[in-house]
Amino acid sequence: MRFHSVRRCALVMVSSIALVAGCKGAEGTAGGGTVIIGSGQDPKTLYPPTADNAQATEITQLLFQRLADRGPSLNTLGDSGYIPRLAERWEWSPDSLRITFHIDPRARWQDGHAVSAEDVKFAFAVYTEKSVGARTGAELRAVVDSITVADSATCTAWFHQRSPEQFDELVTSLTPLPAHILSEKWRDSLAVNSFSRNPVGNGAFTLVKWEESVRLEIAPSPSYGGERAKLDRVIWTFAPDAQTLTKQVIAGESDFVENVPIGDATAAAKEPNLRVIPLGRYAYNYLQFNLFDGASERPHPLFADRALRRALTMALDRQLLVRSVFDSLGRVGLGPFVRAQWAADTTITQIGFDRPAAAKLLDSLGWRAGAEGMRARNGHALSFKLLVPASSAPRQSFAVLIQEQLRLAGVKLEIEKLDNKAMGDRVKAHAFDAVMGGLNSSPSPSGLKQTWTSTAAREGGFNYGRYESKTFDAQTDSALTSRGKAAAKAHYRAAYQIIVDDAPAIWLYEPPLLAVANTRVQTGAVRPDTWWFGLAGWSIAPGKHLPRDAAPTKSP
Amino acid sequence: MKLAAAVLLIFTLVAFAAPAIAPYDPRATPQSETQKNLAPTASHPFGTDQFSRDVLSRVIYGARVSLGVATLAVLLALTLGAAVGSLAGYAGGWTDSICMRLVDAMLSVPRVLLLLVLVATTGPLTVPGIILLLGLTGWATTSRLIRAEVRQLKERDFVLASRATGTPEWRVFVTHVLPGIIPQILVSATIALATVIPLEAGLSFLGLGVQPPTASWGNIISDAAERPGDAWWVVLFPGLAIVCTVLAVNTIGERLRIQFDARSAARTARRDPIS
Amino acid sequence: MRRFLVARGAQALGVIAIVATLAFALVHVHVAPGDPFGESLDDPTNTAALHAQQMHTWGYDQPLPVQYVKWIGNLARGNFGWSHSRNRPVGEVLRATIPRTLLLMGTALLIGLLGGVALGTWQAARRGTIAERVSGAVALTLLSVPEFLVALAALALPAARWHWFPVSGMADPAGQDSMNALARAGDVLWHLALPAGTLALLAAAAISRYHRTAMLAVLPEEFVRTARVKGASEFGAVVRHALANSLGPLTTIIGVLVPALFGGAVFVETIFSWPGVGRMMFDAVHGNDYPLVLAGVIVGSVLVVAGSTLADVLLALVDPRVRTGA
Repeated sequence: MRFHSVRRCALVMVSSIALVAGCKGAEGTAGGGTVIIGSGQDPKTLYPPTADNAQATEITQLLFQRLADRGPSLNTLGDSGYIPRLAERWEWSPDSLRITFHIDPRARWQDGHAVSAEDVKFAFAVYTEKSVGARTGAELRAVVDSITVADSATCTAWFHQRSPEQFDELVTSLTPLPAHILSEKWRDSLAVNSFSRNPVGNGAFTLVKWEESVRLEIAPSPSYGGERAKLDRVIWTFAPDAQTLTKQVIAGESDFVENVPIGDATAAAKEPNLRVIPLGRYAYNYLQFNLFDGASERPHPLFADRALRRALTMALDRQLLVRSVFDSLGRVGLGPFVRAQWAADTTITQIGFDRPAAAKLLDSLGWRAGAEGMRARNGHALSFKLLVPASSAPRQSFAVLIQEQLRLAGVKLEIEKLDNKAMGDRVKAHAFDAVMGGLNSSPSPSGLKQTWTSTAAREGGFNYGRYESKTFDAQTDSALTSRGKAAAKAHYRAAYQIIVDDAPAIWLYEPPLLAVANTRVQTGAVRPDTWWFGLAGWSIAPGKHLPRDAAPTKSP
Repeated sequence: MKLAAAVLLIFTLVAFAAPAIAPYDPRATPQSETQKNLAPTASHPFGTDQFSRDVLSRVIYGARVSLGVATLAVLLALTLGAAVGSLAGYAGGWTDSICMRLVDAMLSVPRVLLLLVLVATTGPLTVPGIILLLGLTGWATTSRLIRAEVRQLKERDFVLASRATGTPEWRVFVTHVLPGIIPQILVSATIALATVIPLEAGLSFLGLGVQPPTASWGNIISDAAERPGDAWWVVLFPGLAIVCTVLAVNTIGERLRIQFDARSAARTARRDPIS
Repeated sequence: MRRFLVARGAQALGVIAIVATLAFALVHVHVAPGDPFGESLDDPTNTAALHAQQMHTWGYDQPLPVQYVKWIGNLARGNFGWSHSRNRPVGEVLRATIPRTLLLMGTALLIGLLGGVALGTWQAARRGTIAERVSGAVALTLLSVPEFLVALAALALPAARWHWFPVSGMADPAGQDSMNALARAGDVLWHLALPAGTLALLAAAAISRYHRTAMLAVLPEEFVRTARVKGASEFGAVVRHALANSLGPLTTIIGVLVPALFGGAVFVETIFSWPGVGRMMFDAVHGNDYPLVLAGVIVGSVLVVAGSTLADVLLALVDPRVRTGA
């Protein structure tokens, strides 16, 4: 990296601009260091209720603390393993309908005000107000009835009913907000917007500067009661192109890039000063069949037939597909869940790849091979259209490869590429044969209810293909209400096996989420679900300091 | 000039005969795991892309799409441009004013910007959609040139004489004015072609033009954009195809201009296409 | 002259008003598949109710004419509306991005002009030599290369492979606050080198070809010969007289080059992550951020119209033949 700065001095001098000041190195001198994070886009807002993209989520969680966070075990049942944050402790009422939180007395807003129980109550009012448009508002409304304040350090959440994941739903959906700043003006969108540009948080970091689409800088917060972060600064730089982000990190211009495309990660892995860190992503992708003919109640001419859906699943070599697109870094989908969830089960019996068996099954269903091996029945070709979102490169890659594999089985697949909104409209109107779908779930497996049950097949749910199975529904409901982990797991397993056997979708892959870090940054173990939780502990390796790691000084 | 014509001829033949020439199916992904991103070898002279598809075959089939899109878009743009330009120039008066204000407005928006907006409103495009968009955004320059030409021709003695004898206007136009603007149309065609080919490639590169798996020279390149630097062959060969074609068109265009348009040297370079 | 300026200004405003209206119509025709809040299909928290409510909050559920009148009224008062994808007024986004694009285009134009005029002059003086023909062919070849290919090559080799220049961005993200003004300017120039160089290369190629032709048109003219007869060296004659007399046409090409440079800037800014209007447009199109898209189109057309108007005015000032009415 030394070469980098030396060459830069030389170049600048060649261009005859006296810039020695800019190159004045502080290599190896003290200072906590600066980490530069390459990122695809700006956070849309730093106002926690409406924070939605990945950057907004991670930065707001560094600036603002929640009552408690999921622990590294990623358990979501009860409260075991949760890390106290703003709440130093909490206790449950005997009937589990109330949880009382005790606010950490050291917790301070960055303007010096103590964090109070009122801030929790106020935040709940903001989140659950529909006009705010909080992402997690609906979930909070469904689970929590109200929050009451006993004294400035104590508040109680009242739940509608007890459920195994009620604690998780509350603490991950609600970020306390500074009532003393916002209580008068939280309905004024201009004031909120100004707050979202210059947020006053209570976390380990505070916002220093945000130049839109250029960079965003945070630094350890002086008012934070816990241990001070080791780094002096963390700076996000923004470039829309993933390829550029990789080139930056390879060139040493940035230290960390999250979400690197697979091909870039392979290239980065060859660089001696970089390492690839697999992160967990609670997403799974699948090819979803529409079991009905469009939005009508008539069965789909092809996919109402369970045997045909199974035959198509059999015709695909999913291992090869995943290896082709993700090398060794992706994983074959096993069902409507991801391996990182506690209820995941890798022993579910799968419909394996078997091209001859698929051919035989298709033959027996009356789909006979004709010209060029393409199959037809009663003059109808075995052919369907697959919707693919234009925004997703991996899904397009899969679609291209699936098209080819199905062709070998005598099935004609047409790819129709749509942008997100158009695709959303089509899918929600059930106007499709098949779609390359994907879901972002969470460490909690409970999303199954909103995604694959018959409840989710009706208005507003995510079961766009309208798969319905009474036994699947029953097992899912039992899983969601089981108190014990073992019992819940058994019901989840039964539900997963039913849906995998019925093949309303071909479970394709869990997309890998890869970060690339410069080895000069000591990150410790990186949590796969939330890499930024460890940021306060990151440091620069001894002897690997760069000029940018010098303690920041402001020029006059 | 001869070389340029030969290049264009060869590319056109390649485009027409693509199925006969291409060594592989351009969409086939036979060994998607082991044969991807191969550097050029004897069996794959241009290498393979990230799906193990043969880049040479894709460039050959891409010629069909890229040249076809460009040619049809240019035909559309020229037709529109010649029609509007002739109308404005020949009719004059209000018609002329309205047409030319429209042309001013069209020309005041950089074409890439205009295309971005159009794509934003239509979403991913089909090949006919791209032809339509490129054609509809490309006629303004042509119409302005044609209008100027028509206005000059209109004042010529033989046109005035013909009108004075009571020949119907349309007939005067067809017999005396139309032949006069053909050289200008030819010159415009080369300018338009040299503009449209890189534009289509650029749009496809940004992911807004021809959609995969259909190969066009632009999206072959954008397929490789995910691989930083180490799959240079996927960028270089289609890139060369684009540059050779445009260079050939520019060379021919320049010769045509010198031949047809020797009068006004100043106007020549003004039409240099760089966007 | 004043009258000329007023008429030219009015015409320019008229064109921009037409562009604004057409652009609004285009963007809001409801075949448009995108809406600004339809982004995340895979996200279970993005419910239909939330979506409808956002559309209502921002007035996208009102009749089009109402939306148009509101929009154009605000526009006339200099209010470009609200950018949803960036959560701030569009005007603020423009204030940040326009100077960056002007810096990029201005630098490219300046270098392109210097290089192009030098090359064109030299070519005109050395007409017919092999070197002249080779350099002409090189210029023509350069003109045949799409900007994005040049930018990709510049990114792949001098930046990513050889590390001579930064890969992207406009300034050193860590150092800029501790630098003095001079160092900061140098840092920006260093980041500017590749993106501006890419555009400058293409501008220089276009200008050289144009300038060469213009010079050849002037060279045989009487007064150049007179100058030669008067004893000035041939070099002096070429440079002083011919150059001065071809400056007029040169202003025309600047007017023509502005839209081309702007178009190129969309690609160059996207590839080099230069945070200007071009990259803003690219992001806005992808985010279905209508107000930002419209603002981008209007900025583009203002720039182009200003360029061509300025060129007309300059032409009247600079060309002695225009001035004397010859």
